[in-house]
Amino acid sequence: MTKYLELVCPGGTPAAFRASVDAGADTVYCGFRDVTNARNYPGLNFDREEMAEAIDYAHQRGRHVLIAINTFPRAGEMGPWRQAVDDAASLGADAVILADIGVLDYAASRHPELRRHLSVQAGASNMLSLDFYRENFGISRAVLPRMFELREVASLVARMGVEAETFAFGSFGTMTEGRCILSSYLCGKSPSSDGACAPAECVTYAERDGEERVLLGGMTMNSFAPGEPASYPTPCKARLMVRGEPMYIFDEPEGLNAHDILPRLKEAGVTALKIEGRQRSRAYVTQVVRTFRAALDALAEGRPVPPADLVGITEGGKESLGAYRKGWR
Amino acid sequence: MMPAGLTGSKRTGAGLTLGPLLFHWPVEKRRDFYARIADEAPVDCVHLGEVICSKRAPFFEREIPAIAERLKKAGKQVVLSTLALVTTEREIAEVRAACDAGYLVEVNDVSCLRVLGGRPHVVGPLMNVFNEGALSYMVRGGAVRVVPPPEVSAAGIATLARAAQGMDKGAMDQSVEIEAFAFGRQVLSIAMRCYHARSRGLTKDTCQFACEADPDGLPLATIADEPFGVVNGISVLSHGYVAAFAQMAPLAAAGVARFRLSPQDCDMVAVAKLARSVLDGAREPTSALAELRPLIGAVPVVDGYLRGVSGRETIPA
Amino acid sequence: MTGELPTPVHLLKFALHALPPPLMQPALEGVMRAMERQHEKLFRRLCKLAPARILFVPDDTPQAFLLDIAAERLRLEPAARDAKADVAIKGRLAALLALMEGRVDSDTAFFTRSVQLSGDTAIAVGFRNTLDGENISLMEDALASVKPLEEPGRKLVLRLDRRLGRVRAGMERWRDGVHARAHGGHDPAEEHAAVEGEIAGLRKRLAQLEATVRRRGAGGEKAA
Repeated sequence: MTKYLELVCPGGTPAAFRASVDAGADTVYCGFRDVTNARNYPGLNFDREEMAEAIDYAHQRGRHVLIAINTFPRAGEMGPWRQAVDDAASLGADAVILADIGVLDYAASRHPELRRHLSVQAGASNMLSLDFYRENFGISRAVLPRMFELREVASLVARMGVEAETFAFGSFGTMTEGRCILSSYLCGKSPSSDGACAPAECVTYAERDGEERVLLGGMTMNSFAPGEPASYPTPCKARLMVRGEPMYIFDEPEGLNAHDILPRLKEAGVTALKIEGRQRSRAYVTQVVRTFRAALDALAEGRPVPPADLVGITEGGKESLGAYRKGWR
Repeated sequence: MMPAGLTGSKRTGAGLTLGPLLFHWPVEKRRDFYARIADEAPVDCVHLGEVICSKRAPFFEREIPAIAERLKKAGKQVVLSTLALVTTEREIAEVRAACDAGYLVEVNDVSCLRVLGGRPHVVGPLMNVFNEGALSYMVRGGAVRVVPPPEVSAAGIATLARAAQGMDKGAMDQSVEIEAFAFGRQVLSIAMRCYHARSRGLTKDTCQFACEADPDGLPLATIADEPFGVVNGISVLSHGYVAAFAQMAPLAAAGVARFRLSPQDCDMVAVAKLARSVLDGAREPTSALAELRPLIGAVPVVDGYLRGVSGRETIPA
Repeated sequence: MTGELPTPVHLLKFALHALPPPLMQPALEGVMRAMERQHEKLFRRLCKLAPARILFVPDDTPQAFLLDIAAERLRLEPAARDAKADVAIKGRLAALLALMEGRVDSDTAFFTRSVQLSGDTAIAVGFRNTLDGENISLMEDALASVKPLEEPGRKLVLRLDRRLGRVRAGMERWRDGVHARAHGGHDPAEEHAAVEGEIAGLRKRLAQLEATVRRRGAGGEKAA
């Protein structure tokens, strides 16, 4: 068991990247400013020059950089993904995070020396799938989907033969990552090939009867009374009519916070903890990374983990252990 | 593999596949359904096996050999579909058993590829084969037929079909076939949670087979009463049926070898006959669509993904 | 937590009330030019959002502002609260400033409903994310833009910032009664009152400075 869990933090913009490093990230993950990464939102991500600077900033401070190239190229359009893998290698990224089998195949054959992590978008949900990616593409690490109970995480980690990275904080949907196209069904853009779930260009807000309505592709996802905490306008957080009654059929608007079970994730043999939120600002990054840095340091040194106070920045203003909690499903 | 003896200018040599039943129908209803398919439906290939939920599988498992026999006698290829989401040891065991049952298997989760270890198989629409890179890898790994995911546009499917023709011969010493989804509700998401159970305040473990009450899915609407989709166990499916009659001839011309009809709670024999007649050039797509409408009641017909726009978009008038 | 620094906002609010319309436009113009000088890269990235018109509508000032982004320039101007724009961002002035300076996360602002959007959401998100790519302080920039105010004004703000840094955590709890009760023994409300008193004093001094600026402005010297 590793003494220090590796803290993997978001770098949505160059400033957020530096904020992550400064707040104590061991590793920062980020992406190029195009469809090759799953957080392709306006104003985010890195051009090649910014990426070179960011990698330099991290390496000078002894931290690692992972480049997420974790979307699925459309037929006949693999060029940008191949270019992204080539550039990640030449810019000196410590690893690439990949999901598509075609891209994995390309990276493994062209850049065997470049470390490959399996993205959560690949949806590897069992031992056999993890074996498949390890044997065929030489992955060194897999990001586990946000759908397992703690004991299931432990059982997988014990056998999986590559490093395990699990989510510790941030937003999460209930659908299996990489296997949900509700967003493109409703608005034409999806995480798979466009790198964006419910992108801003498809979202509108409208005041009606004193409530604020949130629409995705013109479809009403939710309506909030004044002061009622809101959630992302993603389909999996929609309030829908089921047999004539409104309900959160998929999931309540809430965010994941695994702070309270960090010792148990460590015991389970997890290598790295991931903080979600490349779409979020420096303020969020600084606060969350600092909190988890303090927790992991305490954990490594055998001190009690200081309490976290992150509920204010959590989706829907509500934290949850997500699928880690028994009975979630 | 192809239906023989087709001639005529508009005729295509493409085949029809009846995809796996995605809903939890009572055993009686399933038995009758497949008997009628065997006797009357002009499809070349029929998928059996449970895709959505391992808890449902035992209800129909022991019926499969007899039904498969009857389908084969009727000249149809039988493919055994496997689970879309594999997480437990029991589910892994089920996938292993399916791979050793003597049928051609449809892969719907990566784990199944690992079990097959290069044996010939079909790659289903729940696998993410979006591009020629992934397709080529699948072919080298034994795929004989690949169904692109629902999100891929007609242009994308055509690109894959053209790429497939240039690839090395696969495990069955023939070029990999591309099969396009042509009728029924599209699977939009897969999850660990069962939403049918959740809709009744239950969990997946205590579900009481809530999904059996909805043989065509549980409709979801937005709070502004716009149709959203339907819940089917752990999956969410499109609110409308795809009916790709208009895209069949051009896709077949691009090299698409088969078209998939996904079982819905309507007269699937009639649907198959309509699709066959379009492939044979005996019916115009527009008239086939007009004849389809009374067969499917109030369900709208969508084709947005094929046109490269939002999947929920209905066929323009 | 909201991450708002309320005191400079009080000053700004005060300035917005006090500045006569003829001075408002040059002041805003100054802010933009200062930003262009000090954050050239950011300026260029913002210009890539062009064409875009973003309307800021503070709940607690009568004045709204329009940011007009063109290919080569940014223009900030006073505007009517219902001015035509691609997107309007509404909220308390403090929340809007905190959002723009990156002191509060935009998703948090949205989750807590402290900021509301109407119109083209993509423009607002692109603007916010671009702005968040660089550390900026609108206050500093604003002060830097109004030369006569710069030195004494900066001192005032820095002093307040220091003072506030100490009581900030307490103030956040003070806003949240539940937390305040949970943290017995420490009375942020009392400390807040003390700061408010300090602000009142500083306000008076700022008013005097403002008056000086106004006299010079009327004398024809243009701000930066």
